[in-house]
Amino acid sequence: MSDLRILYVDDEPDIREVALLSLGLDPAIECRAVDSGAKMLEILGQEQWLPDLILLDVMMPGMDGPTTLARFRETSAAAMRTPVVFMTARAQGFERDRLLKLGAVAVIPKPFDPMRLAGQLRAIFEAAAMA
Amino acid sequence: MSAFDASMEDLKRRFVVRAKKDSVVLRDHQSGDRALPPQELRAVVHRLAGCAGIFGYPALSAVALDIDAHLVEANDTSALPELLAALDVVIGENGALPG
Repeated sequence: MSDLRILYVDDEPDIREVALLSLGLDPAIECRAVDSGAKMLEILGQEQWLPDLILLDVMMPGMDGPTTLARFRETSAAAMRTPVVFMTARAQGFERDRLLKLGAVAVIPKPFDPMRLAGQLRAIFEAAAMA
Repeated sequence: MSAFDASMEDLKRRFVVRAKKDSVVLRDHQSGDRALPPQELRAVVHRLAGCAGIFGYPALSAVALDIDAHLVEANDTSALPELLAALDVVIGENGALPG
């Protein structure tokens, strides 16, 4: 039985597969993945499955991660509370600060360590819940 | 080998096959045979930056990330030969794979 539901949004199919495999190492994590911000908003708009945490790629064609986050925050009160973690190849310095100011609770660099991703996200979720 | 490791190996093979295709595309761009629009070029470089390290090629990721930054800041492609050289190393290490 899962105690942490994660929605992962990334346009790159191989990275989605790696992330699903990685998060599958923690049997108490339930993860779903979609390939665009538009699909994320569509799924969450249906309100049939709501994640505890969203992992959002920054650079995606069409709607990028920051735009997706801004639109998601406008959708409901629950959307204001759901922690969002950005994932990006440019996770240092100014860019990291910019992403945190947009409302993300953390920024995970790409490439990520497949063996550590589940633990990282669980720790981020627990810290966000305590805040 | 665990199911996780076997799946990662499959994905790594797929990455190398794609890296060979990326190498051809980037060489064509570099030579002027088939120049990519800036957004497409950045998409290829950015994907390599994000993926390569996951599959055990951190040097390729680092070079791609550096070029990605130059592309964002000034559309500067002068370091593209370094990325092609890093791709050649990865492809050379996996020469028996199709692609």
